[in-house]
Amino acid sequence: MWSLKTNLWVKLINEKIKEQIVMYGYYKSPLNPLRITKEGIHLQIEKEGNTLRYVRTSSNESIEKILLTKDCGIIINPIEAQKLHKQVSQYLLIEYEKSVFVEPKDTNNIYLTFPVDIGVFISGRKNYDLLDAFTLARQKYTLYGDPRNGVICKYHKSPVFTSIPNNLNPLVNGVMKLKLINTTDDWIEITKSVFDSHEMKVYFNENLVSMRAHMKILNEKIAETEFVNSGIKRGMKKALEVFEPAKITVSQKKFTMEEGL
Amino acid sequence: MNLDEILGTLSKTIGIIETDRIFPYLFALGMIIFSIVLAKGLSMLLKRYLRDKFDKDRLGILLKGSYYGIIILAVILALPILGINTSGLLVAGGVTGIVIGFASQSIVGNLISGLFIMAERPIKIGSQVEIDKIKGFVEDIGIMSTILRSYDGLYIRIPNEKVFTNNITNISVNIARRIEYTIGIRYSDDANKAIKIISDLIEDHPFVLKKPTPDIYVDALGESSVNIIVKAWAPVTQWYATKKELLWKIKTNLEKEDIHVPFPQRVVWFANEKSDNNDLN
Repeated sequence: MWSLKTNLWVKLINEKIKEQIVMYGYYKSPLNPLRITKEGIHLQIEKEGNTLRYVRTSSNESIEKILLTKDCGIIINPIEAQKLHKQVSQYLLIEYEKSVFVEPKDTNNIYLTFPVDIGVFISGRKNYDLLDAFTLARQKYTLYGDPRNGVICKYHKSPVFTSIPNNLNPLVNGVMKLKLINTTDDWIEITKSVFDSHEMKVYFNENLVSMRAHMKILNEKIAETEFVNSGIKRGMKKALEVFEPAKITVSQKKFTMEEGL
Repeated sequence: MNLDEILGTLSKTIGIIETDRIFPYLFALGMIIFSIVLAKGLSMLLKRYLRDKFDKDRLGILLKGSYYGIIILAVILALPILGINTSGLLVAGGVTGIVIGFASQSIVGNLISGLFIMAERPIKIGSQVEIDKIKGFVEDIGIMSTILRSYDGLYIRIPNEKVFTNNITNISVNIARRIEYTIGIRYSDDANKAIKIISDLIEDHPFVLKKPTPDIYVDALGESSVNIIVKAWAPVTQWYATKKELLWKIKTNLEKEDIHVPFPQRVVWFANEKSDNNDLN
């Protein structure tokens, strides 16, 4: 775990990611007191005596933390959904605005949007940790299945695209490339996909946040979903993960949708 | 001493112990050994089967109880074979058993109920439950009693027999729970507008679940108000906070749009003012 963190940190430092990717990127503090204002988010780190003070205001929410350090780095990048309200749910349900019919024994790619959560990491002494997380996307939850056997999911409604959509705000929405694999001999109608957000692999660049996933349809009511560890375009950077595999017990990487498609 | 003399001595010794007297001892010994093997086997079987249903300490007590119980039973059964009359023991034991049975009826009842609760597991430690009109969090499930911490922080011990024979409502076992309100508005208010305001509020609230779909409708034309029923679901962990927050938001948002919850009212007509009333109509 330590070596993984060290490698990522060293990589980030070596690459000197000082360019500001909209808002995402690496910031050194407090050589210059850090102040970022974007899309209604106001981030600030400033010196206060021998310590630093972190303040973030967004969406009628205000967070203030004291950092017991004189010098640290700040990394801002998109993170897996569900860091916020993680006690409520670890699943993400994307409902399609229009249902999709998949041919028997066929494979097709579609593009969906997903809500972006933003993580603020503190780094220093060859280590990093999550300092704060927030989102500008709309927060809504839903039930997949019945109250006894179902799961609570973060809810997002998405249009269905056949190519990468343009003009998305990377602070609010990302793009998911979803490969639909119909293993059955029937036409299958799909209206939603459910994912285990702990397994998300988020990649980003200057103007796009992305994920890749597969949905394997086993019959007209059951499918398996899983994330693929790569971006949807070349040269995209992998976001730092909050739910690292070593930190949590993961019994399976796939999520089985058993309560309907 | 030659070989003939040795054989003669041995045959005399064996002759003293008659075979019909050895057999019962061997049989009794066999019974006890068999019971030990049986008890061991049963313990292993119970351990394998009940490992997931009982916690370690309680399973240990159960296994030891069954192990020694079988052996004691085998010894009691073996005693008559050895010529020891157990009828007196049985009579004494029976009388004692009746006395103890009456005296410890509730204790045994609690014990058996405790075992059934552990096996059936209608509640778990940490669950929010209502048992016999007592609401709270389950702190512990013992062999004899179940401990609840009520919402106002009281320690409540409920005997297991009472837990087992009463209706148990487990509030937290399902992941979603419904919120239900009855909102009364004036007859002069627009019910459709009120429903729209409530729907928008519900749609905006993150923890009011998108599905199951919320249901909002005019339920009754009451004595003083038009009653609108609001049914919506929330994650069980957020149910209480959402219920509190949403009701007040509904009330304030309705008032912003000049839709008010009326006070109970009654129109009284006086007979000698009939003409005035007719005018009013």
